[in-house]
Amino acid sequence: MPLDETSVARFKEDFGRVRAEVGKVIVGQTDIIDGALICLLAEGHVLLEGVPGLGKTLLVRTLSQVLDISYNRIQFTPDLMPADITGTNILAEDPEGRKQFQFQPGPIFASIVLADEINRATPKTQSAMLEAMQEHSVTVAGKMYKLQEPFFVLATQNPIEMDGTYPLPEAQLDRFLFKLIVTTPSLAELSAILDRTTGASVSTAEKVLTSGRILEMRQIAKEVPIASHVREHAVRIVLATHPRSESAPQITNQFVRFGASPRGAQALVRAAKIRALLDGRYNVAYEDIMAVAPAALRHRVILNFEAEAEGITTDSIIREVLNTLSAKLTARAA
Amino acid sequence: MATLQRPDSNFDALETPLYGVTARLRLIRLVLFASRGALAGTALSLLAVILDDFALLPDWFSLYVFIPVAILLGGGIGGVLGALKRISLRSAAALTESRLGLKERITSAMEFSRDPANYHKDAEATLLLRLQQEDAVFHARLIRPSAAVPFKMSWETKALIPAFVILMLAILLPNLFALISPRERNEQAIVGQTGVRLIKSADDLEKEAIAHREAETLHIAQSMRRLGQQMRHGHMDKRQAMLKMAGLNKQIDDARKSLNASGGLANPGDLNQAGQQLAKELAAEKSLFGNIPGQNIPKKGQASANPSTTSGDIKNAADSTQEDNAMGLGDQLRKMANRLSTQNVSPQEQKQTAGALDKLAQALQGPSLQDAKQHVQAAADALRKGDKTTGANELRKAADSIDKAMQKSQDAQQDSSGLDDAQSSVQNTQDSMAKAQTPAQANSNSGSSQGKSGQNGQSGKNGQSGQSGQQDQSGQGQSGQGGQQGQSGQNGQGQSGQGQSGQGGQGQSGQSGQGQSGQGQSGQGQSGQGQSGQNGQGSEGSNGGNGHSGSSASGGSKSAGNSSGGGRSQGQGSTGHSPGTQPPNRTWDSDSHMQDAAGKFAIPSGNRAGYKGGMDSAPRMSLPSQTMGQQQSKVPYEQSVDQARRTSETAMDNEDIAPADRALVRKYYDSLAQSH
Repeated sequence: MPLDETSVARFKEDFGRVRAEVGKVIVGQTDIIDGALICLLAEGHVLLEGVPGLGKTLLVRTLSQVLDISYNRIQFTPDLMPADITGTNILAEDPEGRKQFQFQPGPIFASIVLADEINRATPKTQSAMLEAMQEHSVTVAGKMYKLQEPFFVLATQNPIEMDGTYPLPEAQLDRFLFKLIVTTPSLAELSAILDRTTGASVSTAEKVLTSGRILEMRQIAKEVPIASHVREHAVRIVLATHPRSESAPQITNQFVRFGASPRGAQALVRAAKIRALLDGRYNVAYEDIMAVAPAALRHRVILNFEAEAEGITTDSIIREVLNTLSAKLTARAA
Repeated sequence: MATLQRPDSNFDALETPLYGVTARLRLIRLVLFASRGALAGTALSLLAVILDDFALLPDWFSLYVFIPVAILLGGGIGGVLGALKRISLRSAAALTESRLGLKERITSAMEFSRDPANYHKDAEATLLLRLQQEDAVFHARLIRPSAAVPFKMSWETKALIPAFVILMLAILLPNLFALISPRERNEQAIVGQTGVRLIKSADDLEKEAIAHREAETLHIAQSMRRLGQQMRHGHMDKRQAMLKMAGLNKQIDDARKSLNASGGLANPGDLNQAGQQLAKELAAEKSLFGNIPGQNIPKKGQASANPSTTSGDIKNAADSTQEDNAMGLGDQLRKMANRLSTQNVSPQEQKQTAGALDKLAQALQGPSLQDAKQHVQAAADALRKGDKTTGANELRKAADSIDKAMQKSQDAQQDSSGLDDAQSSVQNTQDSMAKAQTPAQANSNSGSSQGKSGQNGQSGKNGQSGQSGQQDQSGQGQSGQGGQQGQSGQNGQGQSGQGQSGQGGQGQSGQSGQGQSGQGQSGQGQSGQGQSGQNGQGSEGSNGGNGHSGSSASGGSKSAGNSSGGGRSQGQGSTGHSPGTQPPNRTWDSDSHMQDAAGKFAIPSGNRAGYKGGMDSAPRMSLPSQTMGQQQSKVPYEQSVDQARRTSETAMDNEDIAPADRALVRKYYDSLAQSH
């Protein structure tokens, strides 16, 4: 479907409509909502991390309601098998009475997949998500099955209950475009939550976007131009997370074991483009890159033991990197 | 599907607003760099002011030229550098975006326009590029250069004003009237004026030293200039200046000693001592003079007898030697040589002559006389052997050697004249400063003292006696006329004293007193009878002091010193006495001591110029006048001297008297005690 100025101009509007609809159900958490939507439009997946009861599952469910696309939820447990996700071949009888194996799609075959408490499944099961997330396809019994587009995985994990969990391997983490930290609502937000959920009336969200429009918006986002100096800034940020690189600040050299992968740089640019459009611009700015950097990089930077001992988080590393590069930018401009 | 369209080139629309920004940036950069340059110039100026305060800058360096030049030049160079520094449109765009929050719209659009091939890949991309360009142009048109680059003073520009203030304070504060008491200010001015004079004197002296190639004098002149510069810059108070000048005087003395030691007759008294030794030994040789009737041991100044014999020549040679008359000694040796060559001299007389020459040879001491000594000894040996010709030749050689030594001595004395000038100049200046109560006085005193000094210069070698002239503020006294020849006179001065002064000739070698503007009644100095007496000078007082000594002052070393007393007739013509001839147990009249009408201290003779100046503000003091007056005090002389010494010590302790001058005063009292 060709792009025109109208569809481009509607990008921000449509995004706002989705946000508004979700906001009818979800109180606050605007950053989480925006982040999830950016991931959806940037063809990525999102990992939501937060303690139980913060509305992660509700957010995903609401999102599926607003977007007129299919939705499946997978509750990850230690005994969950890969086939339980991808689907399996079952012996079925056809109308003529002949028996043959027939592929029974798993819950992964949906446009929005909620992988709830993903870190409770075994690594073997977790790895079943790898191909789906990266290739948008699954292979069962040697046969590859394409997933429907848009395909968007939202995984959740609980950071405090570590018993009986299997932390996601780096390769798995790298497939998530964003890792969003769901925080405890504020007083006003909590009050509003109580108001909405304890009364007789139940808030419901309406569908505002079709899968077609989502794909069109994805296409618009991809076409947003980015100037070389802005692109270089994204690269510098990623490189600055690597210890002993030229642009690495002291904190990186001291506390980081491995920096962000090239997927991190891709994530920065893709997400920054959408943010630029949401800001009413058709070019990516430094500000866009820096705004999405924490969510895009925090799960890609691997800290060393010293950092863990001293309680250093990846967010503080990224913040320091951004501050350093921002100061250089300002100095260069002056 | 959208058609592949290239966006219109809105490059000009993007750049035009940036030109204003660029121009403004250039102007701001110019001001910034000019401020930096001016700030550097100000800092340099401040450094120069500090260095100048410590007199570390050369003479030719002028602060008042350097400061404006440094600041303006620094600012100018900075401004030019700032103007020449290139500012690209992209830099201007980046700065504008940063300041106005345009979020890389302009720079991105510029890049997309300049390199379209990289970005116009398909229709969708072209669509978004066009939208981006339109958005950028829209925002570029809203750019106001004044908003993008507001005129904001940099810290360098802001720092200029405090820097100027600090510089001005550094220049003005040390001289700010409000911070200095009138007395200090006056003293500073005096010291400053004196410093200027000292520099001028140093310049003159330096020129002279360079012309005559006098290294020592040149060195002294440079020291004088340094001291003058320090004084001019107010780095010392009057007391310190006095001390420094005294130190300079000592330096000159040392230099003179060094010069004398290095050439010629190291000590003019050498010959005199040799002559006395010779005369003594010759006197012991009765046989030598036995054939000269009527003659006894020759005395200095007496005519020689029987000059037709070699013995007579020897005796005359002894006379010449005693008189320090090297030329006479040489002549006598030549005469003796001629006589030996032309006349018949008996063998006995030859032996006697040889013996006498031996003694002459022994008497000749000192490094400069060694050649002469050897030749005289060789002549004696030759005569003893009966070889008159060789003896005569050796005597001529001895005479030549003495002549050479004398010539060398004269050369050295000429060299030292430069040092004399330097010392005279320093002492004059020192004295003027000491006396001056106002800067104007410092200058006027200078003129007076210089004039007097000139008079003294006529006294031949008594250049230093000219110091006495400096003290005559009233201009009535005639000092320095009677400089004691041969005694680098240290003439004391009385300042407008009522007392008796001019008590020369009391056997105080080299110390002549002067009464100035005396109210006394005609000093009645009589021509001295004593030998080697000193000349006292009477003042030509306002009351008609006769000051005979004025004329007698030229009496030279042999004439007796005359004194004339001003004052209340006590000092009436003290008679010059030669040392040792003064009557014992002298007393002095306590009323006749030197006091000036202003209650100030009348300085006795023998004091250096600077001393008196230091005493100007001293409490009333009296010093003994060693007048052989008609009125005799019953107070013992020693007691009076001790009392006067104590009074002087107290006075000196209360005043800024240089140690060298204190030493002179003490020496004076010592001499009084010793002479008694």
